[in-house]
Amino acid sequence: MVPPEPGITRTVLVVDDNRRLLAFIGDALTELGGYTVVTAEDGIKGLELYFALRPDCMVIDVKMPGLDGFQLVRALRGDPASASTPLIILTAMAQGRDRLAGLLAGVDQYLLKPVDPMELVTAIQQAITLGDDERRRRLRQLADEGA
Amino acid sequence: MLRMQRVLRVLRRSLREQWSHEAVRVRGAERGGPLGYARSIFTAPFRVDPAQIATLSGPQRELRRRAALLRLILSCLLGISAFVLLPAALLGQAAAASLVRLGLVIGLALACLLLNYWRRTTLAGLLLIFGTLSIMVHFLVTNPGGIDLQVVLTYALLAVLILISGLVAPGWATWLTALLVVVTTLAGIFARPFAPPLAHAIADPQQLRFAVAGPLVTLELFVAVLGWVSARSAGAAMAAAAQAFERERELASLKDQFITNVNHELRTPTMALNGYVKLLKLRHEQMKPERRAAIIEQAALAGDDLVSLLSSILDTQRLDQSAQALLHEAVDVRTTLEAAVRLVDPRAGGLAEDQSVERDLRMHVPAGLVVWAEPVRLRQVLTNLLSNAVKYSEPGTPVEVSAQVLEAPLELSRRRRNGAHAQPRMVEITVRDYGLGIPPEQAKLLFERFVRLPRDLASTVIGNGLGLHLCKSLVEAMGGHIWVESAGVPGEGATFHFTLPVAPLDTQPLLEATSEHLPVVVAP
Repeated sequence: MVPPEPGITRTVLVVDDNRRLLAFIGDALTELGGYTVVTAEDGIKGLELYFALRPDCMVIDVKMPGLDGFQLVRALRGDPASASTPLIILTAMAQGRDRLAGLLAGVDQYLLKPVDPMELVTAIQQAITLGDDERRRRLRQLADEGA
Repeated sequence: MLRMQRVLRVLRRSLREQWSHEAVRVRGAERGGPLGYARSIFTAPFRVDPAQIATLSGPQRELRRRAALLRLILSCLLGISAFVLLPAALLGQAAAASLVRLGLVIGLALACLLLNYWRRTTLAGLLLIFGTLSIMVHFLVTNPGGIDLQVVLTYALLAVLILISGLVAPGWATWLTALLVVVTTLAGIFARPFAPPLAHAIADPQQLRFAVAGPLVTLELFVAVLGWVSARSAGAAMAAAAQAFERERELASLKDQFITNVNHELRTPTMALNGYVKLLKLRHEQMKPERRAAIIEQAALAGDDLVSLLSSILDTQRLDQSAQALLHEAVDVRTTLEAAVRLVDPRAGGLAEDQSVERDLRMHVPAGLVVWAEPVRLRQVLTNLLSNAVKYSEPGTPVEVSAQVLEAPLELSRRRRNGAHAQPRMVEITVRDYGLGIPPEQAKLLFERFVRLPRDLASTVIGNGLGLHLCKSLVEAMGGHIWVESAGVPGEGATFHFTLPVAPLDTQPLLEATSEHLPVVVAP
């Protein structure tokens, strides 16, 4: 596990349409990672909160009303102002093609529910410390493999 | 010489490819080549591929069946004529006219095979039937001798032609063939003289004509019916196979939809429950007691969600098995409705847990209206319908519940249009919301197991596609019928109707109907 940065409080925006799960992820990230957690119940609200708060990382569900997770990721990656934001998909969609779609959309990690809370915290820490160059290299590699 | 050899080589290769292509094209061939093709001719009419016929319409299925049978019959006719009858006629030094007729039959069979290959099946069948009929009638008419055994057997053979027309020609052609054959038989038997040896031996020729014509015509008519019935039976069997395949495909799709839906629904509460337990395991010593208590409470709620989902899934299975075991009694509708209202989950209306919104519950239910049902199951049906009304409509919009005894013929005929069995003295209960409504073409799907409308799958409304199926199973187990009426217009909502038998007269007091508007505060 990547050790947390002392003295730095990171903000994580979690977007999921299930309130019970939002409450759990908020509790888990606060207790285990010391993060400040903000939640949104749909993609549109998530987008609004992103530009209002500029969180350090986003954890996004896929199946949501209105703007789904993949659309939200593509919207964020398509805007230069948000293209470098660490993004993690947390979903119940377990098929290989869904995972590939998520990675090609530009997420840093594609996690399946149910996920261990420590694994989620580790994934967030890794995504935050991932550099832009490394992120771009991975996306290029995925695009080449997909082709 | 070399050129000739090259041509022969090319011809042999193209024939081999043609046979291979044909063997693959004709369903049932296991390997290519002439043997495979020959085998496929004899097996194709008896192989039914439900996956393939399900994609065809009724007339297309019928055409395919006739094409396969025609190919088999023509191949047999060609084979017998060319390899048995023709050599026999040549060796027996048959008359030129017989050889010409045989040649015509062989030519006719070849022409029909080609037409069938070019997918002109109906034309090929008609040409075979009426062409063969013409040849045989020509023989009967031009036969110089009178009626003898050969002539009578030829008339009997015409019955086989009727049977073949039943198998390979359209229905009208079968009856036309039968009519022509009967007319030909009667004309031949009654208009022609008997052959000299027979003419001298019989005392009453007229009586013999009737004695011969009677069985012949009976045979021909019977065979016409047989041919028509067998063709219709084969068509019905194929239609049933196609329907069964379609139903199986629908069920497989429903099953996949359910698995996807339940997979998604189960993972979320599982993650919350499992995650809270692991969180406690990792951090319970560092947590303050009140924080620990809050985490345990959240874990319990996540566990309740999981149990509720699993119960819904198991309930439908249990109910299907125990539908006959319900214990009916007289149940007051109004009392059960009020109990159901208390069980409706306010959070299903998309409200935050700390909010409360008044919804107008309009009840038009006579006091003392009693149905013959199982009280817990009736409450379950009402709870499901009210919960759906709340879930699929905006907070603040009213929900209307009404009940009435059905006795007028107009009401009964309306119920009959929706598939309910006409029974006297039924109570109809309706639950109406003013929400999103249901597209009319999707209304019947709602009562299928595990089905949710595509619009609802993409929404925030939680569901597993089992509630309405459960309602249907419960209502039908209690002797009623359930259906929905909706124009599919958002704001007009939907009205769910279900009927139940009125309780026996000695169990229900007669009271006047009352209408009430009750403000119901939907709050945790």
